[in-house]
Amino acid sequence: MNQSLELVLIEDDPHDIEIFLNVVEWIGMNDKVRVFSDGRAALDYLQKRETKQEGKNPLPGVIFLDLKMPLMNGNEVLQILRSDPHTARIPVVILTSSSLDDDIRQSYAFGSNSYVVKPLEFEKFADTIRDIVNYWRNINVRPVT
Amino acid sequence: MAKYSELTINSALMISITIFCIVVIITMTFVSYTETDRNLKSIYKKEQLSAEDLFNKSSIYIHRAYKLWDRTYNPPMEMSMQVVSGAYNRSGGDPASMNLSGIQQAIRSLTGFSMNIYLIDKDGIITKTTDEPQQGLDFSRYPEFFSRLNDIRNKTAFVPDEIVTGFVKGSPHKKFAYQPTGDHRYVIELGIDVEDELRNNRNALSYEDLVMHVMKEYPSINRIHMINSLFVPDIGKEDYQNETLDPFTRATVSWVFDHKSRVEIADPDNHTLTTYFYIPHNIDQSPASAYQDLIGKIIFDTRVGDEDIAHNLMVHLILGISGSLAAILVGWIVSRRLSTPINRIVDEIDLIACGDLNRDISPSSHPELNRIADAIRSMVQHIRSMIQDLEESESRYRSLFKSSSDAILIIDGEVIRDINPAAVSLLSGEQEIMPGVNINDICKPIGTIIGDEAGLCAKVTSVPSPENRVFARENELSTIVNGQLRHLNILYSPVFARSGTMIQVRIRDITASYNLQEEIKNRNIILENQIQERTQALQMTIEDLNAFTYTISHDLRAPLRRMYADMHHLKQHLPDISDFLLQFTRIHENLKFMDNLIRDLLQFSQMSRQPLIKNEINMNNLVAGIITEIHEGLTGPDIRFQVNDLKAAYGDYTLIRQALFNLISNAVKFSDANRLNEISMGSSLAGGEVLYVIKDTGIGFNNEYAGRIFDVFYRLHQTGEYEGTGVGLAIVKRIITRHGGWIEADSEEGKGTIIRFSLG
Repeated sequence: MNQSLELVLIEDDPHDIEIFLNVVEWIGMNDKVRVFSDGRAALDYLQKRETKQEGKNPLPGVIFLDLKMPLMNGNEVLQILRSDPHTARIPVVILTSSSLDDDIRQSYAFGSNSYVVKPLEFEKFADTIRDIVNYWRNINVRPVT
Repeated sequence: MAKYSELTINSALMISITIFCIVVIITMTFVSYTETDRNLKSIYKKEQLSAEDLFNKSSIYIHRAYKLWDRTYNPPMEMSMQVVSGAYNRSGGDPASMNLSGIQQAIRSLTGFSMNIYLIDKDGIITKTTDEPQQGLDFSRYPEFFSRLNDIRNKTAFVPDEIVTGFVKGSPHKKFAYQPTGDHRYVIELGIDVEDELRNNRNALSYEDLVMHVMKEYPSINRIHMINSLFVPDIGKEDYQNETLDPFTRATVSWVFDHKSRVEIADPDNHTLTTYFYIPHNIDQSPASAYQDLIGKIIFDTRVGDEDIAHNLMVHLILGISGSLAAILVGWIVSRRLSTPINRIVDEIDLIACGDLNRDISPSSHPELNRIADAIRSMVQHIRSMIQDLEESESRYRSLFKSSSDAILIIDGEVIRDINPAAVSLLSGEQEIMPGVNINDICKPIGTIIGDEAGLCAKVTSVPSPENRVFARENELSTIVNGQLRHLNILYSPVFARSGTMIQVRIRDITASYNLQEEIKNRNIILENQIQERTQALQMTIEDLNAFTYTISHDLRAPLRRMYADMHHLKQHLPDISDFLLQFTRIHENLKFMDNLIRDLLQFSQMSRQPLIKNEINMNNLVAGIITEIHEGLTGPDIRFQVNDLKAAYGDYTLIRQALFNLISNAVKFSDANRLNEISMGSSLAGGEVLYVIKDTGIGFNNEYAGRIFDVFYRLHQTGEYEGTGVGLAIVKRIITRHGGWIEADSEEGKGTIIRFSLG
């Protein structure tokens, strides 16, 4: 995976966005994050990229997806991503406060790659994000699309 | 009724005995009759044959005696013949010139016999003789004799004939002899009148005497004839004298001669038996032998014999008839003697059969009849007790029938046979219902009373169709009786009787129980509705609770995290935080505790919702894994684990692991910091279930609270003294109870705690 590949955060809560951005800044990769506050906008962006500027603007490296969002919740966004062949392979990490078994089971059923309960402590949160990005960017190997 | 034969025992007995006796008597009579008849006939036959035989043999003897006498005349006649022949030759063959009387004289002087001389020419005519009356007799009239004369003439022999005489006593005896002349022109015949003393002897041999004698000896003989071959009856009876034999007798005689046999001719009308039998006389072939063979004809008078036979028949007939009459009498007497007591006993049985069960059967002199009487008595006894039983049963039934609160009708076809008071009160309106009433007559009134003419009546009359009669049927009917809604249960059941199948209709008023049932039904419906409402409310509550837990898990955590982030930010950006380190630490601790609390509460609430996925669990491996995990994070006092062999469990692996983890970590958590702690585990089989025990030597607690330590948020120790949210043991209890098991704790302060649990 290319280092330049961007991270996408789909999150409605401005405080959580702020914390996430702080974390990214803390771990030093803030310029590569694209944030959407609702699922529709994120899907528009991702599908438009895929159809109109194929090849020039590669798909994002990892999508961090919150579950509890207005209008369209995280699982719905996940379903649409996975049903579209061109976005089906983007790694999606569910980043949420919910540790409910139903949520966890459902998300995996819809095709999420990881499920992460947002750690309470800032340092742990930062470590977690860094590890995830590191994993998907540098450790995991994907087939060339 | 069975069809009885018209024949009474009396008649049957009489007839059989009589027939038997008659058959015996007739057989005996018949045998005796035939035997006697045969004997009689045989006696008569023997008499006949012996008469015949006597006659036959005697006549042969007579004849033979004649022969002997006859032969004595042959030598003188042959000598005389030489004299006549010599004289003829001297005359030159001319008889006319012959002195026959001179010759006669010469012969007499020579032989002592006076003989007649006949010269018979070739035409059979006596041309010259000393017997003047016979001069010119023409023998050619007797062809047979004439042919014999010619035979003699052509030969040279001397041919003596036999003495010829009639059969009648005293008739003249003549003997003739024949010889041809030398020139064969004549036959010389010499004849002697036998007049010597021998003739008297000869007369003693008279046939007539024989006939007389035989007839005298055998009185049954009517008459005896002797007939020669020329059909000349020789015994002097007038009707034979003139040589007239009827053609039938001629034919018979001729047949007997030809066959040298005998013939019997019976004439029952005249009571005669005539026998013809051949008497052989012609010992030698004398010229007159044809006249010598004889037929004896004896006419027996069979009147006496026939009368004897008829008498025999008559005697036997009388014997048979009188014997048969006697047999009938005997049969009648014997059958009377046998059948009278039987008839008496039958009469008595008839009386019993007519209902007089108290009548006894009088004893009889016949043991067999007494046995019948005994059998009848015991049968009557049996019937009596059966009747008694029946009466008792009937009375029981009657009282049940009368006192029954159910209405009961017994219907035979369309007629009510019986009805109980309950039915009368239920069904009677203006018209009273009583046995004998046709169901159709009361149908309409009943229908009016109960307000359902088509219902009850139609069912009562139509359901018990013949083919359905053997099956009981039950109907329920709601109808209006006397203005009130009643619910009736109607049972149709067959009653099998001799006259056919009747129907018992049992009408039970089930209004009360029906109403009760209805009420129960209604209440059930209400209850059902309530349950549904409550369930719905509960469902909503559960949903609310789910929403609440979700909110807790999501929304309560977000502010905590933000507080963390802000605290981190403050720590990073405040110029000097050394004065607030304690406060920062406390905030950090509280945030962390709160997060744990939320986590535990969520876990606890999820415990009851997750479905169990049960498998067999190797508890040894499970516990070993947990201990390893706990050991890694262990910072406190040293703890020794002692795990005995644990029996396998059956349950949800994740949940059981959670429960054991909580229990063991609890034991670790409450270990005594001042001494060596030991946590031991074991399992055993008790009362069909596996019991697991976890024992620690920790600080323990006051056993008064042993029942409460599994409640949510129940803590025995102050917050901060020991880690924990107070939810761990509650989770354990919920997991175990969800598996159908139980858990209990036993503790002593300062000594330790024992936890026992089973998964059921």
